Amino acid sequence: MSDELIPLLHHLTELRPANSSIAYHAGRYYDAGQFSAVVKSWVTKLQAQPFQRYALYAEDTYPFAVMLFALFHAGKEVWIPGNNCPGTAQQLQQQDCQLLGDWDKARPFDYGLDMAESSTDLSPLNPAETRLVIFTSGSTGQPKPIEKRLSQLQIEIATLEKLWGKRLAGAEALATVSHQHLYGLLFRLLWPLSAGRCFHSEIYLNPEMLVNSTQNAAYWVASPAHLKRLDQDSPWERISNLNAIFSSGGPLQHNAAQQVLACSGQPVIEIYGSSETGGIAWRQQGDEPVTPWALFEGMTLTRTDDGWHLHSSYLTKSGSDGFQLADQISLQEDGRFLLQGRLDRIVKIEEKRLSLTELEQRLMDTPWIADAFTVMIEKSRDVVGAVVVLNQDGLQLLEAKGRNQLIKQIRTALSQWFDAVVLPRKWLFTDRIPMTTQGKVEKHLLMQLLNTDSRKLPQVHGFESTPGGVELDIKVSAELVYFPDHFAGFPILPGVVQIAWAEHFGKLFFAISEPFSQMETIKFVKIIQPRDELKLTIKWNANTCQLSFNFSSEQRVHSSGRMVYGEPR
Amino acid sequence: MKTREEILKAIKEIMVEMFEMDEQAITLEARLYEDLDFDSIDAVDMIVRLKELTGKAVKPEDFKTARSIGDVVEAVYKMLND
Repeated sequence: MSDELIPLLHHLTELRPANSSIAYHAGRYYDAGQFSAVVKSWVTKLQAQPFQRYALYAEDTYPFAVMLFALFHAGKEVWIPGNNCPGTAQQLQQQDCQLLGDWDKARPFDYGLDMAESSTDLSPLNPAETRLVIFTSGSTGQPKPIEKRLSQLQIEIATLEKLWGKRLAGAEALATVSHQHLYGLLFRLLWPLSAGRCFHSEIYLNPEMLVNSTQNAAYWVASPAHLKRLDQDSPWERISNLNAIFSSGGPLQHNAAQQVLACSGQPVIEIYGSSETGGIAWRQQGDEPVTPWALFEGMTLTRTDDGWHLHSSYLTKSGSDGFQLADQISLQEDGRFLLQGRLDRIVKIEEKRLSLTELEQRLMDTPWIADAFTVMIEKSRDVVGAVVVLNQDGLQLLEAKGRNQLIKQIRTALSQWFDAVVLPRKWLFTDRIPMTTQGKVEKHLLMQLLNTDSRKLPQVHGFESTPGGVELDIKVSAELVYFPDHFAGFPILPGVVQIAWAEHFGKLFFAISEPFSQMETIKFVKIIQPRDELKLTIKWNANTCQLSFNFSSEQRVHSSGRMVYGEPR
Repeated sequence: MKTREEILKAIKEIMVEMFEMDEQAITLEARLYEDLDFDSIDAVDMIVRLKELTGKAVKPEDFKTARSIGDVVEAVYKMLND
């Protein structure tokens, strides 16, 4: 490793030892000479093509780097999408992009990594013209192109090198995140390349694979999704030998940060930023429950009426107002700040950026859906819940094929556009999206219905309003805590649980504030067993304070009754 | 846990608990990604749970090529009897 950064613009033309390793790919190291030779071969090929704009997607980072620099040197424009879904490909083609790389599983792309036709000599890249475009989901629901000049990225690399270059020394870059997003692109490819460090091409599936991939000094380009899944059995000894662990894509939970610190002795270096801005701030969490973020050199935050604006030395075209941030920020006197959530409807599902607005739009674009509302449900694994109003075609399909088939078809339609990780996992079918009197979606109610405790409550598949009440489609899960003892070998849902469920959902839908007073006309007619699919009808009479319920299936009543609230009369 | 039947039973329990799946959907033939809606995060979670269960690390390579529940059972079986 040399002591100075090699500007990426000069990367392939600068004198450097041709035998220094720059990448580890498919079980072997590639050196600078081999990199340069294959890039040159591709430059010749690409220059012969009449196209100007290319969309580059590659699973592995070394072939990606080869194509990226070949496109730069061939004077082409490079677009970098976050995924290779068919819908993304279609959008890119509409933008006149030529698809390059791993787009079609059936037809693997030949990167010709051993090509070495070196008749052409490369000249340094033009700083004003060399740029790439990150293609990511925008808050309006339309994916938006974000342009980055290589010279801007070079400034960011210089900042990173100044802060952590000594610590990384000659360590190899290992990653569990993709280079198709800005964080991965910088941390696992452009920064190591510029600093003369070797990067690993493969994206590692888990920490065991990562730490066992090399005997040399190394650092980990991680994300909260992987760090929060570490546990007692993780390879801590090898993790503690890493030169550094970086994390970005979303804030790391405090307990996950503490576990890494306690088990490996090293604090995770977290980066806060976005595709639009690049890195903005960083932090290392300690014992205190909330650690503020410190701005990178060259950044300032200013507050205006419509939120926080960033002035960054990485941004050239932000204008005098700076770049408006989508996050709510609380600035401290020492210049550090706390993050307090987003202002728009972009969420991160296990670090995959998702516009809920776009998801709802895509749901409504399918042939079966009239209206849709989606939410993020944060659990040990983040999931998306969808509340959906079916149209006539959707209702017919539900009738004919059943719920699972319908969901499958909707998911298949969505997978044209979205990564599988962000597709809805929880579904509620309803006749209308419930609104508050102020015209806002009743998010709390929907969250409660989508995210029922699977050990104590039934799954709710849908609901419909009825005169004076509501009708829920529920499924009795086999894993309910009530079944093993009631009774061993012959599970039956206890009557008292049925009453508790009726009250639980009654209180969700209706404002029942009076205390319970008595029960009337309770009848248990037919037993309820695991996996039964039932209708629970609840009616609330606010004048008499009576809540009546009825569990039924296929015209047959299982149980019914009435609870009275308030003073006995 | 030694036989394929026992391994399948354990995998079913993991999937019902973690992914809230219907046990009846989890058959040897069920395809992870097409039938059970598995994704890359689920694969990571599954590897963690199998390690807890067996005390041995599943080879991610084996898991990467696994397409069905039967393939997962086979990978765990191979690992336990290696």
